[in-house]
Amino acid sequence: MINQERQEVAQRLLELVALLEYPTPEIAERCDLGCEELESRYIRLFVNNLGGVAAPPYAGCFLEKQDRLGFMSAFSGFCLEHGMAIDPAQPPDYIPMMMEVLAMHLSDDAQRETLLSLTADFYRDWPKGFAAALQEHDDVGIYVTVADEFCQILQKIDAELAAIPVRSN
Amino acid sequence: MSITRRKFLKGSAAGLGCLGISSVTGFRYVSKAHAEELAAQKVKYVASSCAICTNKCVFRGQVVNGVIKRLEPQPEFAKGRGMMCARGNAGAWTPYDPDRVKYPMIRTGKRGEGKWKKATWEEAYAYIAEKTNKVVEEEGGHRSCIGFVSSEGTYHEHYWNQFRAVFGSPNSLRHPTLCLSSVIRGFMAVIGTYPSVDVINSPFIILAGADRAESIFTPDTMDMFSDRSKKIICLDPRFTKTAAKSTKWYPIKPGTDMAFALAMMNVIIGEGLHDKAYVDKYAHGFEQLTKHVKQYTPEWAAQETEIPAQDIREIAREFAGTPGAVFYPGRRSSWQGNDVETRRAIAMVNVIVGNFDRKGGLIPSVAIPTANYFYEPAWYTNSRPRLEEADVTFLNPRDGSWIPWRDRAIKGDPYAIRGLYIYKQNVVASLPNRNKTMELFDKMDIIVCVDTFMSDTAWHADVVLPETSYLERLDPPNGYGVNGIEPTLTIRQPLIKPMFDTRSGFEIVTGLARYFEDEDGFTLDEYFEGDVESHTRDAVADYPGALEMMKEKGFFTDGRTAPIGDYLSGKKAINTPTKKLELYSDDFKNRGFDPMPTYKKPADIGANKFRFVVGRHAIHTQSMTAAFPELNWHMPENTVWINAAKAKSMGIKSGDMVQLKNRTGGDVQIKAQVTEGIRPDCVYYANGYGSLSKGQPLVYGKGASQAQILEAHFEPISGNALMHETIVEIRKV
Repeated sequence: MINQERQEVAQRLLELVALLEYPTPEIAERCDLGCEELESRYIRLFVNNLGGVAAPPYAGCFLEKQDRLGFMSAFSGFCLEHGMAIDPAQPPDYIPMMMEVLAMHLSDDAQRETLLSLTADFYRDWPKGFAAALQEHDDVGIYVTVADEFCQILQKIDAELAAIPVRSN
Repeated sequence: MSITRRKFLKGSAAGLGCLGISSVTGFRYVSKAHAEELAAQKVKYVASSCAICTNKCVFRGQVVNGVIKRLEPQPEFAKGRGMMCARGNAGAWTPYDPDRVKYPMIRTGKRGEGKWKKATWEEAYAYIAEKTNKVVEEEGGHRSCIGFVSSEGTYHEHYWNQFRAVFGSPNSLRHPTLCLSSVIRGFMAVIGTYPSVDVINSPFIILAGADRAESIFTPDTMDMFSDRSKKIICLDPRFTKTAAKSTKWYPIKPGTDMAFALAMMNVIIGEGLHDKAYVDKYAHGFEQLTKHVKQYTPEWAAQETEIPAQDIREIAREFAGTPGAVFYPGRRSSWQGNDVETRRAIAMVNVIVGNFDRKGGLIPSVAIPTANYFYEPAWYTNSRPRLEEADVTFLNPRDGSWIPWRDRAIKGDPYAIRGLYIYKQNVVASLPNRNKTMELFDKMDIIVCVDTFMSDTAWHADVVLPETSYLERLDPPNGYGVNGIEPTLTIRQPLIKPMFDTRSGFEIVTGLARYFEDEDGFTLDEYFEGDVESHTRDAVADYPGALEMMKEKGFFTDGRTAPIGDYLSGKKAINTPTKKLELYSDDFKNRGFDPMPTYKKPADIGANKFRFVVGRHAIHTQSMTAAFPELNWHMPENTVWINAAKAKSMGIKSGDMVQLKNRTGGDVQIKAQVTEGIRPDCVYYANGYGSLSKGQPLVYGKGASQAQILEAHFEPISGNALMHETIVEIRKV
């Protein structure tokens, strides 16, 4: 993946993050919904929902074998080691924040090994779990689309990283 | 429609980009500033104290890369002695719970429908103020029409009460009348204080309903049950963990604990086994008591309690002959109509063997005094007495009495209550007769709820204000005795920064106070001075080094111990009208009550009916922790205990769904748990399940709620709700 492509992917990730934000009247209008209705649906999906948070926007909630606290701590540590501070007002596994972390690494043109380590250690399993939860519960359609596209971006990054030859000393 | 939209979005390459987000400005959550500084603090420890039960055990919170990893016990903390229980450990995840209340929210649908919009704090405050000021104006300007509810356990409750006081409402409701008011009143009447118990030094302990093994997980409890030289007698209709750990368990008939205590006194006094010198010197009314208890023979008590007369006699003799033997005050026993009198009788058993203010006995509770938090009172010309003032003899004005207060609020008698401000008390789940609570809610123009989770109460509020969790905030010092042995001050310090858009209790009330004025036009925030940091500092200003010790270790103690013997030596006066330990109460007599505990037989419950008994469960702290994943995993739902023989006769097996129906329209469906560990005339299930709130997914629709089946009764001396006056019928569904 050349630098230009990375910048474009990073920008796209930021757009996806923006879409996962609390809904604006503009987005509600584009969805043919009143803003209050979309707010209510957003809250049910991500904040305090009917029957429990249907699609918690936290990666750790979709891990199969890992402890969430350990995952968050390791991810936060990875970010700090690579000179990035994440917002303390969110759990470190907040999915939009994790998207941004990936975007920042891409836009910084991080080394292949760093990206490999990042995606292998922190972006496995849960993106599909998150997308599956939204597939089931997001009757608006925006959010499942965001999650699906994020999965596709990860696949693309994986493929590109696999294609780059390992740097030899 | 939704499929169409989804197809539209998926089918269009520009589908996402065209949704009004063309101007993405950059990174919102990630930055490179301070990263190096934060990375240097990879692991840190913060001393603080627990909030999962009343013990407030001190711990060292381990924070790795800014994430709470674990809560380790503070080894120097006297009560914990290097132990932190499973419930306390389970608290570590609470800040990260996906179902936590994260932002101020305003209801947009019907109450309980679950439709909300996120709001800024200012929007939420303005909404609350507008609604509140409107109803106050409609009620002629008197602010008593707003009820204020709060719960013990958070150190910020003082600020909530301050807000209520300067707002100008007398209607404060706290948890004691759903808990231990009757115990406090009974012991206050006899010994002038609600004491601690020196369980470590006591060789013989009688526990009447107090399920210590399932409620207080601290080393002194372990000591109590692991020391095989101690004799422990457990009276409980149910085979609790305490019963299992005791020397002997008696499945006493509910409501007859007083008969047991009176018969003990009959034996002890009748056989001259009481501490004569102690009684002569410190007690008032021994002669009257001697005559009074003659009627209460062990044979009579055996008929009432279903405990053999010989056993009562032997227990009484051994109790009187064992220095330091103690009849544990509570908390729970048989909360029935004469509960204050039952507690007086238990207190009197302790007095006649001379164990108050002595090693191994009842120890006056002591704490390290802190500087008073002072604030200017607000004065209102248009004020009224609290709603249920005439209903309860010893009404604590800050605690109120929930059951009569709710009844009057529903009727608007003598005036209307139009709003409820609720601070972390889950009234929907904890008040008997949930249907009545919902009736009360239906009458409210405004319900505000401050909480950390979407409790049943928050779910039915109009505005939910999210408080920071106890792991994210500074709490001012809280003083309490460690079993009355080593008085200690504890604080809470933030392990991590507050997450989401949450605020501490202090910040919430001071913010809200800016939206209200007193009669002179001053905004109420002018009554609040300083901040939690300065209040913490001021509270311990008289103790050099205390603040530093609390910040480093989470607690402060200056080495003082409980002043055992101060009352007996005359250094302190016994806090009763006669300044003696009262075996006979002129005060009670003058108020129209029995001057000495007089047994009243519990009403017959009828054939094929059951008395519903409440009680603790080892996994949980009342209704608070049932939705904690780490604890819920052990007990995903509650089940109703039904006696094996009784169940067999009714054709009920474990796992069968049964319906319980009470006498006032309350009914639940719940799975049966057939067990030998409960009397045939009682049923029980644990608290915390059967949530109405879909915001608590682990307990929503799982098992049944106690609040839904409990009938609402109270006793008028202390105002305590009567938790064992619920009679149910059961049928297999």
